[in-house]
Amino acid sequence: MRFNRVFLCLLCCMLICNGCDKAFAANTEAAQEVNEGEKEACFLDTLTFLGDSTTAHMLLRAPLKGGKDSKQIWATKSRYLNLSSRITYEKIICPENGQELTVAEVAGITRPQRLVITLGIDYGVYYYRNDLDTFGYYYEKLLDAILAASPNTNLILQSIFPVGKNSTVITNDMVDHANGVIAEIAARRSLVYIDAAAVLRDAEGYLKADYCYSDDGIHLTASAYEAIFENIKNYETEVKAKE
Amino acid sequence: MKRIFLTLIALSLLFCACGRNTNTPDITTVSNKILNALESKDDLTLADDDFLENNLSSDDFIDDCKIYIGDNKEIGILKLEENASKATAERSLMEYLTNEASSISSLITLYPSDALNEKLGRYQNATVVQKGRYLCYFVLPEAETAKAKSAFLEALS
Repeated sequence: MRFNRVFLCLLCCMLICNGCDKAFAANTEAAQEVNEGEKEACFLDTLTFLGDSTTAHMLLRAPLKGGKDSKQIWATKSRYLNLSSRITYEKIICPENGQELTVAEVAGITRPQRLVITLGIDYGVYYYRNDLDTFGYYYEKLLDAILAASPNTNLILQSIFPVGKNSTVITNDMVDHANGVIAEIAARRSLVYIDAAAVLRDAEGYLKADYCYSDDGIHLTASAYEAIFENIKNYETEVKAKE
Repeated sequence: MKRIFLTLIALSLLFCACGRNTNTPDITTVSNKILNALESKDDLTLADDDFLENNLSSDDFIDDCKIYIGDNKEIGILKLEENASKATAERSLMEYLTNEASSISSLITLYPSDALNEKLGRYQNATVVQKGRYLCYFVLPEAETAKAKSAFLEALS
């Protein structure tokens, strides 16, 4: 009788412990999932974006933390930013104080950890279509100006987005050639190059119709920005490896 | 007669020397006078040498230069080489301003906007003034152009 009681007590203890183990394991798995989710969200939150109108429009339609008030976007008041000989004099709105300052001045004030640059569609792609050396020259001049002001910023060069069938002035050939220059700059400077074209193109190579926000074939819908963000997540390890 | 002749030679040499030493003010003095005449100069950034080299074929005729760039504004103060052809310098400058207007035009085809049209108008109607060894251009609102031009001429008077 006494032995039976001892046996029952031991059995109960075992069952309780087993339950605890399972609960602990389940909790751990759930915690890991949460951490993975947080990790992904955190990576996107660590990025600052500089660019022309396609970047400026992210404030309106991209899934940014803070929405329209996000401080992750560096853009001009007019929203377009020309890659030209005056790129280092163009004024963008400093997210920290709302002042219009040059890109280098904003970099010096905010010193972003990671800066994703998507530049060229507003102007450079078309204007320098027959002079890609000059396109590259001014692109790099901007990079140099940013790094001079904020040497520890990890520059990430994102490809210029493809254009849709409606684009009358800019063609995807122009975009591809300019992207070739940007990819070469990234490789030479050992920077991460994010190729966004693959996730945005249709079978014919145009910007997918679902991703075209406006008739110009250049500006992007919210779903396009979601696809761009998903694509950027794939580069997290590569980006961190550069730091 | 001989005395008059000698006096005339002396005077002509004197005037000649005066002409050579025209007291050309340095470019900083000229540019400061122009900038101080403007309502607002805080938004202007001084362009680097690279900008000059890539936009104006300047090697042959520019001794010194200051170009200030702002939002829809630009001021250029070019001090020419002593023996530079003013016509060549002016032609090169006009070519630069025409190229700028053309690049803004191409941008307008992509992004038509009032702001860009205004900017285009300013480059198309840029004021170019030449005095002494200086060649200046102003891409400014009309009222500001008048003030800048007047300050420039005053600086060289």
